[in-house]
Amino acid sequence: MSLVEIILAIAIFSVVSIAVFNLSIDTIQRDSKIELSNQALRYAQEGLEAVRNMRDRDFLALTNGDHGLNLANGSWTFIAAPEDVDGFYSRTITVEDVYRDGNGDIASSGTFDPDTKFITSEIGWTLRGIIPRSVSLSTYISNWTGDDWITTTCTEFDQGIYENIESIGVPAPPTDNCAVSLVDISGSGTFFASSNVGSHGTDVVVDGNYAYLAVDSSANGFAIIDISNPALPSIVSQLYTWHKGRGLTKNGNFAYMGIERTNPAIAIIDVSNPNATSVTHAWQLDGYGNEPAASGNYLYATANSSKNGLSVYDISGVPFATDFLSVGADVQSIELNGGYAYLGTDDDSSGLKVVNISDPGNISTVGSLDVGEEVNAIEITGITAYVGTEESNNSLQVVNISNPANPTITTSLDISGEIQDMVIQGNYLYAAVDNQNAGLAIVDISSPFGPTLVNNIDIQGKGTGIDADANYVYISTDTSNQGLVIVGTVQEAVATSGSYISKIFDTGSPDTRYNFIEWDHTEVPGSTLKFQIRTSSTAEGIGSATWVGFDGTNSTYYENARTAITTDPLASGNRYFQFQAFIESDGVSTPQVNSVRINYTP
Amino acid sequence: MIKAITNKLRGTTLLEIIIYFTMIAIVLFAAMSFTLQIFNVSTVSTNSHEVQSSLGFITEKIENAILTAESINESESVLDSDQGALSLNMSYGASPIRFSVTGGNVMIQEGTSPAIKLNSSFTTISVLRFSKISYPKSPDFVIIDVTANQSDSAHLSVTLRK
Repeated sequence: MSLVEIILAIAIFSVVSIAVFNLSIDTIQRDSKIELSNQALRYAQEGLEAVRNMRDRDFLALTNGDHGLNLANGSWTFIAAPEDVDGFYSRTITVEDVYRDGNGDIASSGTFDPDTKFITSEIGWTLRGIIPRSVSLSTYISNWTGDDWITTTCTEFDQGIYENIESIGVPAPPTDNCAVSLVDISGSGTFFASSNVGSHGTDVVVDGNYAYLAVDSSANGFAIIDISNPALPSIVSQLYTWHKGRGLTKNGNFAYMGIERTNPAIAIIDVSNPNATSVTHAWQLDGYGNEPAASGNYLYATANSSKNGLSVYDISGVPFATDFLSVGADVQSIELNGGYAYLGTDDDSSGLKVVNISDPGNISTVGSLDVGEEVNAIEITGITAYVGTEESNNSLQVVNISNPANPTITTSLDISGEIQDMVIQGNYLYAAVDNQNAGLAIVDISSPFGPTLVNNIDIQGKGTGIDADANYVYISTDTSNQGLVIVGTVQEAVATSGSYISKIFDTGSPDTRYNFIEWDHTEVPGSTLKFQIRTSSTAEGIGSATWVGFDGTNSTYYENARTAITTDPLASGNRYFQFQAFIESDGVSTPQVNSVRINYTP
Repeated sequence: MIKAITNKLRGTTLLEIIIYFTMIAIVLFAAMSFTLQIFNVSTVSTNSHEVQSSLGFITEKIENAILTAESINESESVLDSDQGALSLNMSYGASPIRFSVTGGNVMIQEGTSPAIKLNSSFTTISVLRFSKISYPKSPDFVIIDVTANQSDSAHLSVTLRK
């Protein structure tokens, strides 16, 4: 064997030996890594367990962000991240919000779930001091501990005590859903003024400082009244219009009036100068002219005619007819909305007609509705049409016109007389009523459950026409020396402060722990809402217990929904519970408290 | 010719023999060292696996018991001690379940059954410590520390789910 062969053999042996040796060293190192990872996982799991422990004590303590953990005095708390563990590992607990989709499943976006958090527990360390390593565990934590006492229905709220507070029904769910708010002290006031136009008034339109009046006078069927000082309305001009004025509308510098004759039955009046008005055009219809409507370049004239109750004219220049329509009855009123004309007719069995006017040269009837009587007036807001009829009882019909081809009645209201005309201002509908002692009716239309009659007002005559601005209602009447009457609109007002005390709630446990108070309310500017709570060991004793706020003293309040509850340390016990809500407003609008939730652990 | 053959059949010198034997000795020595080292690594690795396996089994057994326990029987438990014991009242199955350390072994006793050793014979448990955190109206929280063979340890925390 030569030296070279020996050296070669040694070299081969060395290579193999070194490889085997490295393998064994690597085995040792891997064992060490595994051991470190296993312990890291245990610390990560401990992090999740600590968060569960915090959840069991106070869910609100799980604030969003990155935290470390500290165990002191028998409880876990969050500290600044990262936390040093055993002098080798670092631990970071991350708390994040959770959202749910429409099916209630957890999703990346959607409705915020205040009772669920996403928790990540991450452990980090360095291998040989330079190579970073980490493991993390995640889970969802939900606020399932504790019971809830929720006050949200009218039945539940009514078990408490109201002071300047009232409950109001709100749409379900749940059934009997309710909210509490400051009492409504709105009122129509006592303002009253009138103007003598020498005869009855038959219709009125208000624009700026002037009221335009259709007058039941063969001499002067049209008048303009200066209402810049509503307390002292004064006639500025009167106009001869061949006969009595019947129905009236205004658009820009022109007033359009139906006349009580067939020729002319409709007149266009230049009112650009209220002191000097003149008729620019007047022409014949197939019957007496009634209330017209004007929009853009078109005039929609109605008439007491079953032949051509509705006529459309292009008024961009010299007026010319574009189409006529017979609805088989006299057309007494008209309201334009969304490409349709809603006609009030004298057809007792089909008083409301709906006409497609999207093409003024080709109008057609698309729908109708039996409202029980002739229709004298129509007012539309959104998908709701308020139809005034000649019904003595329930003269106000509320109609859903979401499908113009198929209008349907939703409800009705008795306002003590036949309705001649209507106008909507704010949350109220004002109706001119054929009632000598109650010529004006005021209806609250703000409730989703339907309109309610607020007041009937004696305007010293029957109402025949009506219009309104922000502060006043203008009614044409059948009183000869008071053809125009002016009254104040309803001034909405609420109480400036009030309180609600809940019923006494029995938790059934003498050592109940209260977790948090939460409420749902609608905010309004200029208002405040805050709470206090009190507890007692007996129901009889709670009346003398102290109301306390978030720090357990009488000097503070709960002002943020979902706040941890601190009971009075001097209270006799915790079995019985009450809350009190304090509401303040600017006197105009009030916040609504929809529900109150107390989470407790008996 | 005989001289040429003689030259071809020339023998190994003493020096070469010495060199050869020296090299062989070095190689044999290295081979022995490697072999001993490999045996040593194998032993260390086996022991480490044994200890980690025991620790993992013990902690998992204790964790599962706590998760399903109704409450902690404090009168039968030894808390905050390196030679601790934990007695759990169970809502179903054998109750109570008691973990303790005796003579370097972690023992589990379920109900009235004989106690069973949880760690292997090659593992000695020097510390089995239980700490309990309680809060009114909240489930108990248990911190467990286990040390084996004076060097390897495991630490975990579990909340009773009841």
